[in-house]
Amino acid sequence: MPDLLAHALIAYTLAMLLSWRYDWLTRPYVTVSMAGAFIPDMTKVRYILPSDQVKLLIGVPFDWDALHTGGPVLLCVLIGVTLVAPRQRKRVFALLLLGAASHLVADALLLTASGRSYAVFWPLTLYHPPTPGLYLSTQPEPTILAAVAALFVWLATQYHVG
Amino acid sequence: MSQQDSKGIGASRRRSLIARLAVLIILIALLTGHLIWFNTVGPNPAMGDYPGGGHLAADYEQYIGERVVVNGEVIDTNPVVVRYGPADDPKLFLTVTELSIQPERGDPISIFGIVRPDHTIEAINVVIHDRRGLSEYGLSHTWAVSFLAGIWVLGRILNHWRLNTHELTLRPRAETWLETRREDDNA
Repeated sequence: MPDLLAHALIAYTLAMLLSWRYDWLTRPYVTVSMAGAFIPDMTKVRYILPSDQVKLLIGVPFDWDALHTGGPVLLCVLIGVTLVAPRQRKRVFALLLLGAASHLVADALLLTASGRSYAVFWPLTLYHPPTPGLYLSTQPEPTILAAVAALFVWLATQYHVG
Repeated sequence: MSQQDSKGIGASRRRSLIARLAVLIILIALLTGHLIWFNTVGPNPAMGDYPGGGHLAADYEQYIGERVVVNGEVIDTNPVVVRYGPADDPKLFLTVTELSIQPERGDPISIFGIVRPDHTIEAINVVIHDRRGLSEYGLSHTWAVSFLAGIWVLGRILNHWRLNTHELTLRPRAETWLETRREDDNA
């Protein structure tokens, strides 16, 4: 997916739709799903501190890209869960996971030259699933589409709640 | 509340804090372990994990005859030449053959192909990225939009969650959209 905004909008849309079904899923939890959508893009830390530099610093192999795979994303979700009180843990777990998973799925559909996506399920397997190639990472259209969807559920929720 | 009660509560709060801290440290250690481990796996073409530009830059000869995925920028069009490293490194370019499309100079490109001797790649498939995602200043619009998203979500977090300094947890603030949700705050 092109940018973080698209991922945040997708997570927002999904969480808002679920809030129609689950009464406990209120605004703070919608926000949690959006925070979850940011997790896989923590790989962007590499633009500030490249993996090679970390390697030199700590003297062992290192790759930020692991943050964009299933296992490490799950660990980040669990780290998020430890920051809240016991009563909110299950909900925060569910919504961080929703946001993070929606990001991974959206990115698994990106057009690539090899026709393969990335190691979505690592460390279970290094397998790069084939991608349908629905959009380019540099295309603005998916973000616009996500914004329209978010606007629609926002309006529908105002009507639904009010 | 008697003194003994408040002491008891203090002790249980301390225990729960220590337990959370222990779990947090374990999780961060596990995560770090994965970031180290990931760098030691692959490439594995059978799994769809092809070598990339970094591998070619490190040892070109080793990958001759193999399928690779290289991201770079088109610097010449006849023949098509792609630079896949910093501009000041003259070794990191590839002449692309068997192209089915004609890219333009400056196009951001991904090439899936077979490595041939003498800095040549036989293209199987290429993807030319959308230049609209990149601005003339070299800073991508994508970054500006992503930054906006960061501000938006950070603002929402600050608005919807507060730090409970007593137990060092984040708690949802009073919910506005239905008053019954206030129970969260009192739990």
